[in-house]
Amino acid sequence: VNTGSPARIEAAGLAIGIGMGGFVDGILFHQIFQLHNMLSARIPNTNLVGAKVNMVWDGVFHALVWVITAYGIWLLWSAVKRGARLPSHRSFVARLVMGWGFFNVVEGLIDHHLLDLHHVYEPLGRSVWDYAFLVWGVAMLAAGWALRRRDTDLGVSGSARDSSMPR
Amino acid sequence: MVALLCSAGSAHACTLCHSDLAEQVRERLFEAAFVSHALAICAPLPFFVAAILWIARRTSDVR
Repeated sequence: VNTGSPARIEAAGLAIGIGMGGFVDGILFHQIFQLHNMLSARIPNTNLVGAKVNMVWDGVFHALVWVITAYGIWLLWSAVKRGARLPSHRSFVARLVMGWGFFNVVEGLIDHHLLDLHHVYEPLGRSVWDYAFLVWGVAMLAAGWALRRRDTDLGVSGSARDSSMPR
Repeated sequence: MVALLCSAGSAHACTLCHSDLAEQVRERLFEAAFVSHALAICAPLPFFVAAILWIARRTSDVR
């Protein structure tokens, strides 16, 4: 009996979702669109030195989400190694989406609102975009939860469904 | 590799270089608020780790 292995897979999905959410934020908003940087509300990124200092802190942020993603991969690998079956696509995607939503909610609340480290669209400071970021996170959490529930309601989640999955 | 990075003309702006710009960046980076900045950036981490560990430690019959 692999007690804990399905829970590990669930945790792996959440961890990888958190990590991927962090990478989307960092890559899309910090680097490609350059809407803000990690400390752009404290250290203006409007001159070269400020931009480069922010770039260093962006790197620290990326390192942290890399570690979370790596931990998720390790959890997934160790669960399978312990004999757990891989979850269905829908079930695993639900956990990824929940992880991404959880990232947005926690990061948005702490970094955008409590600590004022940066804001989604920095030129405006705290704006409607910061609240939209939170709503986006809550929506993803709800969507992931609903997707996960749907699998459960159909009676196909967990070991009953997973036992029919090829390994 | 480090020698290459530090000696290359095109790498004057790198964080570890000895150019004026790099020194300004290091000065700004390691200012008095360095620890405060580092702690602030790490602030969400305990919440992420707690959520992951909480789920990972549940037994399989708890869904």
